[in-house]
Amino acid sequence: MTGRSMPAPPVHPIKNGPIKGGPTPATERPRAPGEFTFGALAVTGVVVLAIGSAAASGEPALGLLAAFGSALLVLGVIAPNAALRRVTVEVAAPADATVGREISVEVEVRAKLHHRRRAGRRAGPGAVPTAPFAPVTCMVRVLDPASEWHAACVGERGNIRWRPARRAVYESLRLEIRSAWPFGVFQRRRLFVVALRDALHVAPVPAAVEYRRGAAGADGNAARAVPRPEGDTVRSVRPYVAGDSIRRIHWPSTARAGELMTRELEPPASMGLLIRLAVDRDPSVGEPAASQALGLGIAVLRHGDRLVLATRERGGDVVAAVVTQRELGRRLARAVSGEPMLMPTDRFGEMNVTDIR
Amino acid sequence: MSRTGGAHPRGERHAVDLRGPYGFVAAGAATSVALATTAGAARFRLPVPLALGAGALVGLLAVAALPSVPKRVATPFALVSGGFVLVRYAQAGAVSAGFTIAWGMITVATLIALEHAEQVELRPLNGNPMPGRFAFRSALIGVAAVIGLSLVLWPFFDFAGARAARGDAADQFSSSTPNLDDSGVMDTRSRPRLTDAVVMKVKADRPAFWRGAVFDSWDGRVWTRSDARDPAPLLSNRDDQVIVPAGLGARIGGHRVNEQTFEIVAEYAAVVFAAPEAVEVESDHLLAARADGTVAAGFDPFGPGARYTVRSHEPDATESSLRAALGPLPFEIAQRYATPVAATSERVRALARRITAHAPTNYDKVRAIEAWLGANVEYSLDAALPPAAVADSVDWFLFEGRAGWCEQIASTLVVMLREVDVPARIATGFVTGSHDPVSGRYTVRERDAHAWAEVWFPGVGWQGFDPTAAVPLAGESPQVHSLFGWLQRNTLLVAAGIVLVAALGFVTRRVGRRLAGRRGPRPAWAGRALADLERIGARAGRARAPAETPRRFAAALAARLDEPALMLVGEVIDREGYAGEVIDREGYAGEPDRSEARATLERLLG
Repeated sequence: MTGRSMPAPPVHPIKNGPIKGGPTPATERPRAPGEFTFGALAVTGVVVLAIGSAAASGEPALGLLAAFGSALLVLGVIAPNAALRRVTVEVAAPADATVGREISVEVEVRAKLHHRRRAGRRAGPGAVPTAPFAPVTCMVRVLDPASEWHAACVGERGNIRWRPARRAVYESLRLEIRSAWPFGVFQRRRLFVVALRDALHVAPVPAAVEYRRGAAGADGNAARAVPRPEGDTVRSVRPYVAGDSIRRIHWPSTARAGELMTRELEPPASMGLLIRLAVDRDPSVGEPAASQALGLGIAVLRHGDRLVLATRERGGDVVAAVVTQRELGRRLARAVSGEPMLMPTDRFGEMNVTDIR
Repeated sequence: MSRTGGAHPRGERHAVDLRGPYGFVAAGAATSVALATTAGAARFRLPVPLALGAGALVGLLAVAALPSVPKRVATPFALVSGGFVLVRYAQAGAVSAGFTIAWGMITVATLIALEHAEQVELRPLNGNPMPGRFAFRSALIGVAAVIGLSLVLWPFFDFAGARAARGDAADQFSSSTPNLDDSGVMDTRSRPRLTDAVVMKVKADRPAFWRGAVFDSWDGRVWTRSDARDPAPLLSNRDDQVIVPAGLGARIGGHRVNEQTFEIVAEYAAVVFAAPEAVEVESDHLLAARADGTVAAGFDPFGPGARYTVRSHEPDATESSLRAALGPLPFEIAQRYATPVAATSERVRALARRITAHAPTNYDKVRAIEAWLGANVEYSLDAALPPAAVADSVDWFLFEGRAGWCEQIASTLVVMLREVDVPARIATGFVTGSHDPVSGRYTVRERDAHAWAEVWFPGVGWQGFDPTAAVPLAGESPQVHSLFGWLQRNTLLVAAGIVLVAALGFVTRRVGRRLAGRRGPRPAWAGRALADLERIGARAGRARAPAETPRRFAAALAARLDEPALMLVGEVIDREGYAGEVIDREGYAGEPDRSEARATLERLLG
């Protein structure tokens, strides 16, 4: 069963859409590329005092002290800048997640030049990368919302526990890396927007919804009753066999045939529900609606009933059957604000329709 | 782009387990401060173990025992305290370059250990704690790099050496000044080439001109002493103290005691410098006194590091007391110092008489000639020298060159004073030098070499006059001179001001954050949007309560103005400003974002 797209009404524009173009991360310039630490302030104080005193007294040791502090500051600024300049990040995330529930994001902090040089030196399969003598240390975290900082060395791979805060489809993740290596006088930071190989669908938290099979709609949802098929129509009659219920004896045929005839019924038609979700622009209204849709959808699927979901997505309205809970979550992750147009139900057979908004 | 929120990367962990990585930090800080305090202990007569222990204790306590201060603040604070102590001792010349390098190595290693310790406090990306060997290797590389670069940068901060080198390049003879030598002559026809090399350091009760020699005989080109006898050796007592016999015309009236301690930095000094008049000298060198009251060390000259202490009696004279100092001149004073100089021209004599014609006292005569010099000649070290055929340098200076330096100017004053029967002589030595407020000492350089006049007043004694001070510099803008001079004189003050402003800014920022109770500064966009929202509320007669969140305030405004879009504005401000979320980036359509909120605000603000 395929969904049918309606002509796309004007939708809310997406700001700063996901980064396309393969695994190479695109970077963006942060507002403040770095910050001096308290250590830098302290060292600067000593340097200024030493320079002033050296100029006044001409003591060589003061000149050396001033030179020493200046060298510390210069290298302290250059080192983290140079280190993070050659850093790139690769990220892998699961395809599905739920709002507010932790997932594990696999992060690899790589040094571009290091890998290039390594590849040049050790060309060929089976080349084993060697750790640098003194690896650049840094801190890394996932943003939007910010995860906990993790300590890392350039060239390391590991997992960051991240808790997505909103329902969305992430085609890329933002990460922040900071490093004050090695002296801690200047902390350079860099933001990465890293495209995911597979989009991360963050579904809403399912709400607890009571689903009454056969009833029109669910608690708290306005529903319109539509004709539903009888589940026990007579398909044919056959001779009575022992065990048949006396209630199923077809008396007219019995009279005509002269022997007991039993009604043979059509199997009961499966139940179905079409959920039409209208996401409000106000998240405090729209998100509970999405959660309710998910809860209801899960209940419908658990009962083995057919489920059709009508939502508005970026490309327009989508009305399609949903057969698995994962598919339901992804559909809801993709849902954007707006009310999908009412779809005729004959395409999916006789179904109940429920509006959730 | 939005600001990302979240906790600060450096955890505010204050409790320190010294068995962990912070143990190295604490040990490093303690060692660094201990080294710094030990640097000058011997020089300042402190027991080395006491200085060592006190420094180590301070460093250890600062890092390990201050529970209310984060280690990323306490550790640099301890290290910089050691740095300031080191600067203080280095100013006193008590710190060698090797010691500075050792201190620097430990300081850098401590900073690297601190950086590593903070990394260890974080959750590791790969699940394994960061090995300590990484910090060790980083320290090896870091220390080597810093030491290497500082040795490259050192020449740029060697101010005295650089100036001395420049001076040497200009003139091979500029590395020393004749004022340091007991040559017995002062030649006004040789141009001084003085460098910034430090000659000596003086700690004194009061600033003064440090006099080395005096001259009273003028042959038209060179000043010499009329008493050519060798100085008389002075016998010292058990404490290496010698009493300087009063010189000819020495003070009779009131005086102030000025005790000075000289530390010679120059390679050689054959005279004892002192604020006039020296009465007592404490030195382990063999000294000799001249009849004019100066002290020489020609038998046993001073070298680098030599120290001596002088107690002087300075004339307690005022302008009125000098004007009132009238009376007959002692015969010896009059004969030696007040006799008109033979080797000068008639027009110099006539000029002296004309300038002082209306001066009733000797003091007024001095001031009159000084004023005339100030108005008619210029000071310049580049002034033309008198031709070799000129017999009278003063005449040539007054009527031909009209520009010269202290020697010509002071000589002219003395020659003209003698012409009008005022007893005067030339004194040479050094001006006070630059004052270091930290060490309280005056640093005297070669360029501070000076010549001035001394005038004898009845009942007062010899009083110094510096006519050069009244003479303007040749071709130099007074404004530029004053600004440059001010900067030169106040280098330390400017440096301290910069540090103070930076520290104040830092403290203000931190206190502001604490008071605001925020984890970080509110993003500029959210702050502006909130201000706009409050303006809309003010127009609508609904001000925001102090404890009201932007979301609640916006909801209230939305109800009052019937503008549901305002609710989105509050949502955006709340989430971006306080939750630290970035909400103008990817996400699903329909989520509130900045552009919508901004459009709503601008629409309502008109």
